[in-house]
Parts: sequence; structure tokens; C-alpha cells
Amino acid sequence: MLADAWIVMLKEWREVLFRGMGMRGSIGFFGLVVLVFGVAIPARSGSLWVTVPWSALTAAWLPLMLVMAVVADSFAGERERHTLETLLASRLSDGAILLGKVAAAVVFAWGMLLLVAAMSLVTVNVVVPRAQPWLHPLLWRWEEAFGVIVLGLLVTVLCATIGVMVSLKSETVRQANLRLSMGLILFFPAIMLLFVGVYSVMPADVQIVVLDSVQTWRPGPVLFVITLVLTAIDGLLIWLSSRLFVRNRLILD
Amino acid sequence: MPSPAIRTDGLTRDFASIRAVDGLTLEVAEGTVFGFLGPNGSGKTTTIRLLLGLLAPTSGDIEVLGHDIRTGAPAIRAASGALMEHSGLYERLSAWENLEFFARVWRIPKGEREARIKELLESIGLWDRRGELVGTWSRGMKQKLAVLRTLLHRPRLVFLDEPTAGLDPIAAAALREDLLRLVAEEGLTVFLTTHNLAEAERLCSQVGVVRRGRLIAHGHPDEIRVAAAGNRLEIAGRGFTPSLLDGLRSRQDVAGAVVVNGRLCVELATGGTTPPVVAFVVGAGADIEEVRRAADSLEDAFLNIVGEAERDAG
Repeated sequence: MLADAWIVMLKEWREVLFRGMGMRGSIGFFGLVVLVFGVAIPARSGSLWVTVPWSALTAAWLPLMLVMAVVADSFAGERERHTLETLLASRLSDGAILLGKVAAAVVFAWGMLLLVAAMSLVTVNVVVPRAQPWLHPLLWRWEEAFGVIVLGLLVTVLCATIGVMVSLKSETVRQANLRLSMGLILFFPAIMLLFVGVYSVMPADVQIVVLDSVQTWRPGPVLFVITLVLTAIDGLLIWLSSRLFVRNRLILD
Repeated sequence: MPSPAIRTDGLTRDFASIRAVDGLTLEVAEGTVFGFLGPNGSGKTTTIRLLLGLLAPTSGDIEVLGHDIRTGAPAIRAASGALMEHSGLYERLSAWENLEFFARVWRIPKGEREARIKELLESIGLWDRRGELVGTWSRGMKQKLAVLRTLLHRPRLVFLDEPTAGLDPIAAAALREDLLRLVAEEGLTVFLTTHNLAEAERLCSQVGVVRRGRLIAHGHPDEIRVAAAGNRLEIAGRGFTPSLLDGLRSRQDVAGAVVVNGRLCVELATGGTTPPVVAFVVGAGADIEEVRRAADSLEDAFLNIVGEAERDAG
């Protein structure tokens, strides 16, 4: 199944990423992402990029944007361009098709995230003047590195799986994009409201502890809990999407 | 006796209150080109989807290439090729990339993959255009490429859902020629749906006529034509005098007789047979050169059969 998923993933990249925007458009877009997030912003931040931990985690939302570029097209695009039925009539299993579609978004977005993160560290080390830079490189602590690499992957899987499910249930790419955009618009205010709501009902002494832990950044246990929760949510969503992907129903849709 | 490539028994599929396929019982022998004829909305595409396991039957049994659809749908799809209603080609990819993707899907080894794609593209004269994006091609070229895609992995069975629909007559004829040649070369079983009767007559060794999901006629195209033409004789020769015609019309086994373009056309009454009528004509002094059962074109036969079914349905 993995070999088949790989074939689907490569087709998806070739068709959606490179041909969808045109080769020049794709290179321009991806180049711009790397320049802005891997060079321009870290260069402006200087050493703060590695010393202020929150700067590393701001990269966590990058996969969300990158996944959006691929995922709306996954099933809605096949349906709109009348290629879905031929794909379903092939020897590919349900799992291989679904996994290939999710992997196309995850590997692309996570790969871009890692590339941007690596570029940002190179940029910071180049632009910050100091003695013996090769002996004492500016690097994130393990917590930030963990946040970018592991949480970045989990967030990417989360976004890709939700995106594929939305695309699975959409008739056109436009509809899928619209639904994803609306979800995104509602998602951030909802999270903000949730945090503000929870914070406001906390006793005053707890509020002080929370503020202190955020300001002094002791993320170890927090990262552990977030990782567990995200892994569970990802697993649940992948199971749910596999339940949604039923050949008979897709044909009727 | 070899098992049939396709066998259905009482196959039925309902969509809410609409019965798309109604008790379809059918056998398609291996190595034949089977034409599934019917007007729009008669259940042809639904039948293909059922045979490929893309839809589950409401009731009835399906066996394709020896596999039961309920347990062997993946094996059926693995041994089949399908050109559905739409060409199913990726228009942003080139012809080569399209075929290469599907060759990978069917797990054709790399060396063989390239040789096979070249062989097929050359066979229909598209090798020089393999690098062009399919989206820039005419509909006829796309359909040809889509047919090649179905043959890529040398399947035992190919489903073609109205392969020439929407093509101009020249492109359709060219595709039919390519199809005939490829089918002969590859030696496969073809299940073809169409409402182009000339196409069915040209390509198919067996046809089934379906209306509102029910199979209403089944057999060789000639048998269908003769059956639909009714009990008519055409006699070529000389000496078809008015008294001979009067004599024929007075017989109980003859419903009517008339001379058209020098040929004597005799409509037999129910239960009437050919030998006594021919003997009477010879006895009346006519010289007979040829006697044959009259047959309509397949198109006329199709219209007769569907029309009769329509009247019977009320």
C-alpha cells in the first residue's frame, strides 16, 4: 500500500504543485516563502530568533498555509475534472489513494517547514556578528527544535487530514477552498476566545502562575501534553477520513 | 467449456425509488466484444459501475473473470481496464506522464513500462506528441489516449463506456478502426456500451439491448436484426405475376405479399414457415434466384425492440 500511496503522492505533486500554478509560478511561490520566512524575518530578528522561544513556534502556522495550497484540490479537483472515477476503477486500494493524497500535502508542507527552519538558523548565524561563529552556532534549545520538527509534523497532519476530508465532501475545488477559508477564519478567533475565556475565569493567583510560566518559558511538560493530544486527534481524524472514503459513496456523490 | 468473462444473475440496483438496473441476467463469453445498447438513462453506465465494484448491487449476483463482486472487487479491477463516461485523463499532464502514472499504478516494471507506452503510442500515431499536455488536445485524440490507457497493463477485460460519444464522424471512425485493431492484437474481452448502432454492428460479436434497466434482447447483431424484422421473406427472381400475388395473399400462412423493385416481399402469418411458400411460388411458375429472411439495419431493429418494449410497458 505504501508503494501505491507514493505513486499517488508523486502524481499529486506533479499535477497540482508544479502544473497547477505553472513551473515558474511554483518556483516563484516556494522561493518567496523560503525568502520571507527563512531569510527576511530571521535576519530582521537577529539573535532574538533563537533566544526568544516563541519566534520558533510562529513557524508552526506555516504548514497550515502550505497545506491549503495542495489539499483543496485532492479529491474535489479529481471530481471536478472527471478523473476520480477512473482512479477509483483502477487497482489502487482505498487506503493507498487516501494516504497518497494526505501524504502529498504533509510531505510537501512539512518539508517546506523544515527547509524554512533550517534556512532561518543559517540566516541568523550569518547575520549576527560574533567571535568564532562555527564553534558557537546560534541554535534553538531542544524544546524549540522539538516544537518545530515534531509539533510541526503533527499540525501538518492535522491540517492535511481535515483538508482532505473537506475536499472529499466538496463538489469543486472552489467550494473546498471556500469551506477551508471559512474554517480558517473562524478557527483563530475561536482559539483566541477560548484562551481568553478560560484565562478570565481563572482565580487571580492561577492567572499569575500562567503568565509567569509563559514569560519564563518552561515548555517541557506543556510540549508533552500538546504532543499527546495532537497525536490522538491526528489518529482519530485519519480513522475518520478512512471511514468517509468509501468507493460506493464517492461515486454517488 | 470456458467460464464466461462476465455473468450476472438477477442483478438489480435501486437509487431511492428509481430502479436503474432491473433483474439483469447476462453472460459475456471470454474473447468477445459485447455491445450493451440502450437509450440514455437505461442503466448502461450503472451496470459498468456494478461490474467493477464501484457500486454495490441492491440484489442479484455478479461474477467477473471468476471473481464474485462481493469478495473479489479489487481482483476484478486489477485484471480489467475501464474507460468511463469521461476520458479520465489528467489534462495538466502530458500524454507520456498520464500513461506513465497509470503504468506505475498497474505496477508495470520500469523497462517494460517505457517499451509498452512507446508501442501503444506508436500504434495510433501519437508517439511524436507524447510530451504535449493532454489539455491542449482535441477530444478525439484524448479518447484515443484514454483507450490506450485501458490497454496499458494488458487486461483480460476492458469496459468502454460510449467511447465515441461526442466525437465527429471522422474521429469516431478512426477510433473504431484503432479499437478493432487493438482488440484483435490484444485478444481481450470488451464490454462496450453505446447508443451508436452502426458502431455496435461494426465492433460487436454479441449485443444486449437494455431499456429501463431490463435486458430486452440479446444475441448476435444479425439475430437481433432478423428477430426484429419479423417474419418477412425477400424473394429475388422473375415471373411474379398479379395472379401469383393473389394466390399468395389467399393462403392462410401468408399475411401479405407485394413486389418492390422487382423483389417479391412476403409477410408470413403467425406460424407460417418458408418452405411451403417457396414451393407455392415455384409451382406458380416463377423463377427464383434467391430467397432470404428480411432483416432491418441494427438501428431499425433497436428502434423496433425498444419501441415494442415501450408499448408493452404501457
